[in-house]
Amino acid sequence: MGAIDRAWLGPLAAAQVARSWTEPGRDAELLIAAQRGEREALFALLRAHRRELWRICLALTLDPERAERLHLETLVRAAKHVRAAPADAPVLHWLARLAAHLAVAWSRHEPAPGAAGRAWAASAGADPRFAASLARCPEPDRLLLALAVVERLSYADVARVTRRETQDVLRQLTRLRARLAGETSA
Amino acid sequence: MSHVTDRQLCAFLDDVLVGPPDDETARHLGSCALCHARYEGWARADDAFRALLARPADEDALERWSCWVEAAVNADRGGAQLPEAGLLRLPLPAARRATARVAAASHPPRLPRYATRRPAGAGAPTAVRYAIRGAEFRDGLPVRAFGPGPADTWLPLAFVGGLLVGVLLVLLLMRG
Repeated sequence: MGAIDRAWLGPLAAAQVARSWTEPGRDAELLIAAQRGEREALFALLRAHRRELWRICLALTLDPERAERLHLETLVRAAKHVRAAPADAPVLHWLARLAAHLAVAWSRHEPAPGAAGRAWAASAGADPRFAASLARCPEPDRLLLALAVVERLSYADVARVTRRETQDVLRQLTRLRARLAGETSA
Repeated sequence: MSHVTDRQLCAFLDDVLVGPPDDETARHLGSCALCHARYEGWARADDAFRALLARPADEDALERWSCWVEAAVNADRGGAQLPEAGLLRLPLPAARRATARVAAASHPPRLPRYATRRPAGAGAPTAVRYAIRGAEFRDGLPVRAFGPGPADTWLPLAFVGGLLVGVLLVLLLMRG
């Protein structure tokens, strides 16, 4: 093969190293203003991260309809509890954790997205076996994958968002990749 | 070099390896068919996952949802309650709204349920009094559900009779 072809990372993936995850931008000042009760600051903060949050919701639910509900519910919860947002961490980390908590809570009460998730993944052109493996992954694992594979965060950042140890992130990602590639079963 | 370990492969895919470990892994993957096949499989899975989520979001939908959240926050701070997720009443997309309207219009208006409980046979005592004028509907509601029954036709006659008796009494009193 010669040099390893890393073209699959591609310009799209490179572009997806989202500013919101790695660069604080105006988040800190907007968050302070939002916590003081300024609605415009709160709205600007939530709007700034909506695309990344949407991808996370889609990864957590694997179903566009559920993702829409999760996205809205996360934004509403975030608006309601903005005073609880940690001031020393990026807002998007907090939003992603909120979405993950909600998704886990929903999955306890609602049927798992298994069939719907597989159908959606199949409609998007994914291999059925891959779609089935992905649908069997628990929500926290799909969040981990989304952060590392789609958002291209460093392990340290993934560990910060998911509140795990860095070594644990590597261990779990390794396990998940082996499973999704069909080397091991769930 | 022995085969690439799982963790090494994972770290290599995430560009975490730097320096000699990165170079050695790349060289080994280039020369070992077994490890290369595993690398390909893992990279394919990554690609598939990325392809699922990397499709651009529907900006109109994101904008609509942001507006909805802002309206909900404004309502909440104005004293109204924020709805729970299960109660979210979002405006349906135009396409779905149109379908729903057509579906509703294609059904004939339903008769009131109490009408079906009444006996409808010719000899039934209440058939005339509770006859439904089913043809007259406005906005899905009967304009007038009940027609006049036999008892209703006596009321005007009694009124006119009473009036005549009253006039006669007044005339008799005036003569006296």
